[in-house]
Amino acid sequence: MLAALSPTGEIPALPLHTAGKYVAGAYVVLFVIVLIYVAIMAIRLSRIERDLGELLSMTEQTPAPSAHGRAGDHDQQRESAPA
Amino acid sequence: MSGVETRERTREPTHTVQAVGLWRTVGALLRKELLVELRTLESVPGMSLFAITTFVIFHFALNRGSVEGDLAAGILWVTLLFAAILGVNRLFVADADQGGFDGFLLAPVDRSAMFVAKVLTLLAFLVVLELVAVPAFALLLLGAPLGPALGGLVATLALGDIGVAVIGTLVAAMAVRTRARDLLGPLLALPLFVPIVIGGARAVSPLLVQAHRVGVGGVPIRWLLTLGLYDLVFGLIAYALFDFLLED
Amino acid sequence: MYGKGLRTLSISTAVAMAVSLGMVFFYAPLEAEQGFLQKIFYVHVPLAIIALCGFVLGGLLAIQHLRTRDPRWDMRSYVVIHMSLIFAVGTLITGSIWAKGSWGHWWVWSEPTLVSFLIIFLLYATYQPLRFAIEDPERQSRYASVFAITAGAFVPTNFIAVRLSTAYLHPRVLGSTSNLPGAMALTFLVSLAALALLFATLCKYELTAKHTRAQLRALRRRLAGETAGATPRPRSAVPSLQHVTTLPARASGGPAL
Repeated sequence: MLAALSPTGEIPALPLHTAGKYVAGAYVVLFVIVLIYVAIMAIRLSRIERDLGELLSMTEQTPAPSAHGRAGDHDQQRESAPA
Repeated sequence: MSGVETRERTREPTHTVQAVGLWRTVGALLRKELLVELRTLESVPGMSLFAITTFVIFHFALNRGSVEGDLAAGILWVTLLFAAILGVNRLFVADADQGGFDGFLLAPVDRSAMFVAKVLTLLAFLVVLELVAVPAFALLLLGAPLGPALGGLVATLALGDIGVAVIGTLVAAMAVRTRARDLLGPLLALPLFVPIVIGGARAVSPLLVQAHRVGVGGVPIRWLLTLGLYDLVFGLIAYALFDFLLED
Repeated sequence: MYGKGLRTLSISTAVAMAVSLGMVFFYAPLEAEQGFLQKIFYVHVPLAIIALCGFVLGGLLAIQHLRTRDPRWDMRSYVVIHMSLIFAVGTLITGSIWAKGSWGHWWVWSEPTLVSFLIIFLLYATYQPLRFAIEDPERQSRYASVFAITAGAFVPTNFIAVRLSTAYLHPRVLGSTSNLPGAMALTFLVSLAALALLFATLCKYELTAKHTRAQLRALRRRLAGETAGATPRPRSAVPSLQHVTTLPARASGGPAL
């Protein structure tokens, strides 16, 4: 099909003006799929980081179950900002 | 089913004592299903009416007085399939809403009996549907004589119906206890029906032509084999998997 | 631990993808009939093959789930099916681009691979809604496994049926994969391996992320269990791993499964 387009009947070396954009399109699709996945994972990672931060601050506020019997533990209410 | 959430989850399928044989159970269930249908007439009249109405709609949609060949085979199969979907949607509704599943699970019977009985029920509904729809189709839309085509048509419809019944029963059982049961049933079933449509329509279309060879019904064996193989494979798979849908 | 081999896997994937891309554009010869456009073959066909194998694999994993009732198999089945669906969409898009380049139409009915993929896509697109429509987690996993097995068996059946229906109509539009000369066959195999590695990496990535979320939830339940009522798990299509974290299960205070 491409051979019919060229005047001498030969296949051009790299016919970027015709088929190139389709090939590029196909590979871009693959690339974009992977990139979208990376973006989704990034969002999840930041959510995990935020959740872990919350849990960390919860451990500093809430006494651990075994700490009920511990004497002198009055500093549990101290607000400490997570790092 | 709200009571399920708080019950303890069984880790293995319960062993059932087969006090009653499989075929006796199937017979009893089948009799019950057909009696219910005869008394309530919920499925089959609706399906048949739907088919006839669809033929009328096709007439107006395609703007044709008669069809033959590929077009005829296509219209027939599409209409039959969508009418079958109506039956599939209703297949387990009574059991799900009125505790029929629980009653069945308590009985000392082989659980696969419900699968076989429901498949046979749906098959019976489809046969009655076709007894109405095919003559209606011949009357309203078909531009070729039905008589010579009848042998091949019956054979193809029989094989296709088995496939529709098997897949329809499995999908109905999956969809009935979900939130969007009327929507999920067709969405699950229609892609699974595609090989049946391929085999069925390709098999029937050479039959539905004016210049029909008198004598041997010229249905290509290839399509009947496809349908038969599909029925066998999915019949076995559905039979094996159905029990897992019935637990709890 | 899901994330154990993740680093090795992702590095090998990156290397394999680089090598395969290099081979596609610098090593494989131009095909006589289609010219440069044929290069899409090296991304479209591996995507198709991997997606199909992925769907069948999802069915096999579901069989394991029904046999052992371990939710981890259901999680693996879910992730593999999800990823295969994404690869299937990629197959459809790249195939459509190829069809447009070859025939000038964005869709052709005479290419059996594309048609089969459309049907399979429509089928597996109902997997997530089916899961979401069932609230009880155990029943959701069970029904999803039944679906995955049925659909997994359907994949090859559908391929055969569609191929039969188009066989006598037109010659193949996008060319077949048989009779490939040596250099092209090698490039194809390398591309196949690279995309298979990509599939495995993404699946493992996904499983690790879900497991981490499950561990976080268990940690949160453990910490919040005594002070406040634990938040019930919202409706989700994702299989729950509530009892396969490394933390010991709570005897009370958590939502009933």
